[in-house]
Amino acid sequence: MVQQDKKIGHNNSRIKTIIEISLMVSLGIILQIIEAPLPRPLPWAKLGLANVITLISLLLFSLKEAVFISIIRIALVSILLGTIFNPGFFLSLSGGLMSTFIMGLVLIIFPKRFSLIGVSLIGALVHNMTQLGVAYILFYNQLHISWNNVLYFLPLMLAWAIPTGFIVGYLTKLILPVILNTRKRVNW
Amino acid sequence: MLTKSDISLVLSVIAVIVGCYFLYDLSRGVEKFVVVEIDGRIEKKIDLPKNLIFDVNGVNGPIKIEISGRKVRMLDSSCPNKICVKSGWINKRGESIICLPNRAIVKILGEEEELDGTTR
Repeated sequence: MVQQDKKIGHNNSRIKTIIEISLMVSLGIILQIIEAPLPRPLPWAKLGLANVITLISLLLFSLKEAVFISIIRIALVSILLGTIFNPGFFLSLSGGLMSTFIMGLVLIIFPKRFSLIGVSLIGALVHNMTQLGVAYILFYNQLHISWNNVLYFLPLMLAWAIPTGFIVGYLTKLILPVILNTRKRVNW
Repeated sequence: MLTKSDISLVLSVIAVIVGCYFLYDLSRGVEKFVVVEIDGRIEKKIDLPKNLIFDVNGVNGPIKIEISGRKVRMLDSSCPNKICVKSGWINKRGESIICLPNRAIVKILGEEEELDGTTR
């Protein structure tokens, strides 16, 4: 009897985690799809609203779950928008994974040193740098991209990461208490 | 709200941005020569810096080109709209003046670049 109860309890917490992860994935998908048709100053200059969800899932769960959430989110959004397996998909996947990973590491290694805005800034920087690197590797054969062009893009992408990092960090700060409260109130 | 590390992070990123622009400027190299193309053929190739005014025959008629130091412009052209003349001086590597009625391209190239480097 006691053992059965324990077993049910264990299963419950697993189900809880699964449900929370899938909620996070769906929130991320919604944010990313809302953002897709918004006008952009430059074709590559996105806001990266889904990073809010990545950051929140890093804070709610562990690094492993957050990476999992990013992979599922990016794969599903690419299927929904029809961009899966095109070059943009690989850019998005590599940038998303790398930024999640580095933000997680920063939160583990320096938990107090950076504020949420700082962590999201690091995420935005890593995201853009990874994309630039992967784009260089993917395209330099076809397009004869030289170091000159990379050097031209690097400051632009770094500069774009600052406002987006700030906005994402600020939104995360606003949204995190709401999610924590809801989690407490549902009380399952 | 913002910690000290946040601010130093932003400052260092700004420093890297500024440094990149300087590096980019350096890596562009010095403007080495002017190439004049008429109808796809290379008509003239002149080393910079130089001071001279010369004529080239375009498809539509003669073109007068002026080189002054590292700057180039079309002084006069036998085309109806004179767009090439109005575009003024060019002085950076990779820049060009184009005159469509004369099928003429005047461009500045750098050292390591092949002549057809920009049209590949």
